[in-house]
Amino acid sequence: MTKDPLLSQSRRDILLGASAGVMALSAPARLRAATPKHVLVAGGGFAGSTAAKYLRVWGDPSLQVTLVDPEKSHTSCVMSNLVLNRSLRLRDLRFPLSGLESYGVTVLRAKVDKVDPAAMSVKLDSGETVGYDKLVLTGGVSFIGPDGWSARTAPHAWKAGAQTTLLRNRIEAMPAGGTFIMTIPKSPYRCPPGPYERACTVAEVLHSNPGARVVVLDANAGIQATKVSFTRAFNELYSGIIDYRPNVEVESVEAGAGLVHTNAGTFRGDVINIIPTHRASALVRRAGAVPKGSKWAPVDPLSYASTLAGYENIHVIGDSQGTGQPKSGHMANAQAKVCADAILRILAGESIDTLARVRAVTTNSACFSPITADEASWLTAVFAYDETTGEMRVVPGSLAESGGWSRENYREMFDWSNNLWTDTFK
Amino acid sequence: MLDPDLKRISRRPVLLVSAALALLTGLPQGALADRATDARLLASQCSQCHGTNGVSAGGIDSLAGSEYQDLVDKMMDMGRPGETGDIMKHQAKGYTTYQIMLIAEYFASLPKSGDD
Repeated sequence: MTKDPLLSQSRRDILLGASAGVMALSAPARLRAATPKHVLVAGGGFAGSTAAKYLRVWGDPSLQVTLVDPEKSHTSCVMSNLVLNRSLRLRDLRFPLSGLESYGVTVLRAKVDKVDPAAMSVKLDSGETVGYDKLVLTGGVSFIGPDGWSARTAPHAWKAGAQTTLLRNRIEAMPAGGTFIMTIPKSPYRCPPGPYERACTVAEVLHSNPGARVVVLDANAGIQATKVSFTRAFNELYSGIIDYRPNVEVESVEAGAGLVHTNAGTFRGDVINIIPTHRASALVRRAGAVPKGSKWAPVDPLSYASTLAGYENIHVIGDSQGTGQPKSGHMANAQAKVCADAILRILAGESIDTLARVRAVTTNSACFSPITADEASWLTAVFAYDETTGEMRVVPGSLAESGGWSRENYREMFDWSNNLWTDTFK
Repeated sequence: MLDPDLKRISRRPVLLVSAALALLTGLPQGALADRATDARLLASQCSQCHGTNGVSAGGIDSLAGSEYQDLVDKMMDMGRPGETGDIMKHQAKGYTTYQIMLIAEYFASLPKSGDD
């Protein structure tokens, strides 16, 4: 294996595939000056797919962008609670990563095993080494489960796919008058309104099961997002079905016996849905982009470049980054555009911290949560770069929630998700 | 959905608008490209809902080819204190007047989409 990314086999393949093949690859020294820049994006979720797409849409046509993901398609967590009540099928949420090829993104089906920041290359599970000028790491989140927990016996369904189907089947097989227990980890976790939305969706499904209950064990001191709507939904709409308990932390799980042991005693359920504590993705942690004792990757929100020494050419976007912005598909898309813009400017030798550019760095969040089978609520906020603290801050007045639910919101939820998916994957 | 020419088409009008502005303001040439790129970055944050390059995938308004003044007026109106109860009324409060002008400049420079 060589330290020169230009000499690696897969790098050469990419060069040959993407450029006309007229370049003299036998003369790498002369080639270097004229070599197109290469950005490698690892992970094809909302963050990675948006970054790859916008790098090609905005970048010089010679810019080479490779998206590496072990899967052929991404299954969207956004809207996946609607699989639980069969409003949607899993395949409605599946987006082939080949959709990005039309923009000139090279899609590589592989897993990044190792990142070498000094050599500016990654090692794939195929054994190949691929060089980069800039590396973008994503991968969402990984979980730290309580003692005795397994995703097979107490599904999280917090990454859409087989887990979602498993949880749906459990809910549908629940005995008459049974109990559904779900646990919410301490913030930050992905999709702040998501767990409360799920409680409503499951409670709605269980309307047809007299005596059935939804016990929500929240490690936080209260509802973390869209609080007015969810408080009203829990207390009015689903009163007698949803039993919401704040400040309850899971200690261990005995799924076979249906037991969840917590700091507030033991709870017994027929279906157990554990959403465990979150941290940065395995990919980001394997790359060494998360310091010891921390759960997230420290980055500069002007570029999402890692702030760790030696990691200047590595960017982390989406759920794994640690700027404190909410973790969601919509926000991952937003950050990816700031990151893509920064990478293009840096590769062009331009600065990313002029006053004008700094004042163009914003992200925003908008999302809908189904409350009933045909009504939804919404939540929104705009984040701007704070020149004094160097952090992304909510702009006053922009943070708001619907404070209720409506059929109109439910219809708009599908327009929102469809546009978000299209902007990200198509 | 993909129009391979969109990128090329889309940058030209921004630069034309910016060039006109530069003639008035006397800004150096480099600032022109910067202004267009800043505008593009800001405007891209609308695309999660309004579509890539302001061309909606459906259900939500396309912004490509909007009238500059109309877009600025709408954003300023929605952003007024007391305007609440709608996502856009709160999104509009998230941007400064300068940012709104740049966003409007960008979308006004794009060709109007066919399906509005």
